[in-house]
Amino acid sequence: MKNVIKRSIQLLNLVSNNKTISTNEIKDSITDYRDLSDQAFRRSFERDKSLLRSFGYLLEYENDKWGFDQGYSLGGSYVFNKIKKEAKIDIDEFIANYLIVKKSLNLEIEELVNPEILSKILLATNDKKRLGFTYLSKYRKVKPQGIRFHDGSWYLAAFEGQVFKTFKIEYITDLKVGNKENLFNTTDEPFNFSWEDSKSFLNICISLPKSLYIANKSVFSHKLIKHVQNDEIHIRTSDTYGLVKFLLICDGSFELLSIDKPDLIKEILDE
Amino acid sequence: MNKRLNIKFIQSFLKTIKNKPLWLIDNLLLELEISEKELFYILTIVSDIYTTSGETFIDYEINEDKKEINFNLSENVSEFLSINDGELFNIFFLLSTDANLLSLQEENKSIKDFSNILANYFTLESTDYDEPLRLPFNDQLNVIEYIKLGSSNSIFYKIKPITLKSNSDGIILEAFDVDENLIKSFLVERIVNITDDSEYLESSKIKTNTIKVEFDLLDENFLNKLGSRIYKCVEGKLYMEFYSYENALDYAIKNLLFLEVAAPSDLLNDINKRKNNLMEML
Repeated sequence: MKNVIKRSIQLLNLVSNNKTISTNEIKDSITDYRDLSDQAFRRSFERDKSLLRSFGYLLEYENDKWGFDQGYSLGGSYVFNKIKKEAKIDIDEFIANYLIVKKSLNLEIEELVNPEILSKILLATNDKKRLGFTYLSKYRKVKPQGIRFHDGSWYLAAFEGQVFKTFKIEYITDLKVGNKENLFNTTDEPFNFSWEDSKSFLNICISLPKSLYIANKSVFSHKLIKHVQNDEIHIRTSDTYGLVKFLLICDGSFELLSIDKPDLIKEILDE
Repeated sequence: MNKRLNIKFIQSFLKTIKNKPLWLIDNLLLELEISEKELFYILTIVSDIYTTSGETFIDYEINEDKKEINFNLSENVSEFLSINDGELFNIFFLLSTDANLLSLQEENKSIKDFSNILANYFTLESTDYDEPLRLPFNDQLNVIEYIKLGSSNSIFYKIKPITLKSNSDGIILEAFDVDENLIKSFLVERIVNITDDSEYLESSKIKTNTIKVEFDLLDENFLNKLGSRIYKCVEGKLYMEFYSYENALDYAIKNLLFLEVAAPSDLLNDINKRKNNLMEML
């Protein structure tokens, strides 16, 4: 374990500050690697790379055929490097504040979003570069706009052609960032899902214990119009399928007080 | 050793000592929340590293009489220090949603500035938390009121929070269940209340048994959404195992457009009964 941590520090130290370093230089610079055969070095290096990746430090090989500096560089710290380079702030103070916030949390936070995908999305959104990825078996090329948290999941908001779409990050694979910068503008508009633009809303009023509503409200997309003290809730939604799921889960615990389009629910139950 | 000594912790250690090279050993242990044994373990690692120009990465001197430690850091340490995007994103998300961190920003202007700097780089929307996430967890015991997936009844747990993370179900709190002496995962959105000991009822817990379910697959594209979930698919049938009946019920309802329960019949009857009840209400 001791040697692994030591090698990880040495590797990060070699590639820190935007340096690019060749595989041979890595082998020569780290004592543990130096005496290994090429094959054993490869195996050990790949293991260390994957360990660093699990902590969000991405050792990436620059493979641009027109580039001068080919080799490994450190990815995954796009925002920090950008702040260090561009923001007119004291970086030591920034780190000190980061430590205060982290300490006041009282619990560890592991990754909330896949760090590799997150880092590439951040880079592409801020530098206005195109993203290419496979999404549920289909290849997409998009202009990223930002990230949205909804229903316990993370979504990439992006333009595919002229159409604004949201992609669940969990289903994104083989994500690649384009080379060209400043290809598009980002929007200040809210990142709406397609169903949020719908005009066909359904209004429903039910009586349900508040705790049960809190625990299950993310099952469907809706707007809470009113929550009366005696557990009476008024909801407006166009996510009828989600509403059916919500009502089936809460079976036996709610009373239906009123609904303006019951046929929409009946249609789904009849399917 | 209790502390998870990994590359992330070494980064935190270096960030802590960089701006203040002279420390009372006791204070440093307190700040890092580690034991003396762990501190010396770290020191043996970092003091054995040399930069490309041949100087020591970190050197230190201990004054036994004053119980002080003085660090001498190579200039490379500044370049080495970094905070990766995942960590900053986690912090930014919680700065915008967690009640404790929101009040910390009101009290401390430099934390507010820190949050504003991050806001320039993260374009993030969250509609799930109209009210900030309430996670007033301290490192002591908490009693939470929790509604399990597929259930409509609250269960109280006496827990000690460990980690906040996320998976395909949402944001997860990993915590130590004091009574069962086990580490468990709780979906944050299903923690409906944080209470005091008086409401705690150990008897409300029910032991659960795993359940195997056979589904008819209604849409083959659904398989692409299964990710790392373990399943078997044979000739249009999907076989899965769930840790409880309630969990299987919740899964079957949430995916009823793609899957239909074939067995066990109890589960199928339960879903049909719920559909009939709803139909009658309409």
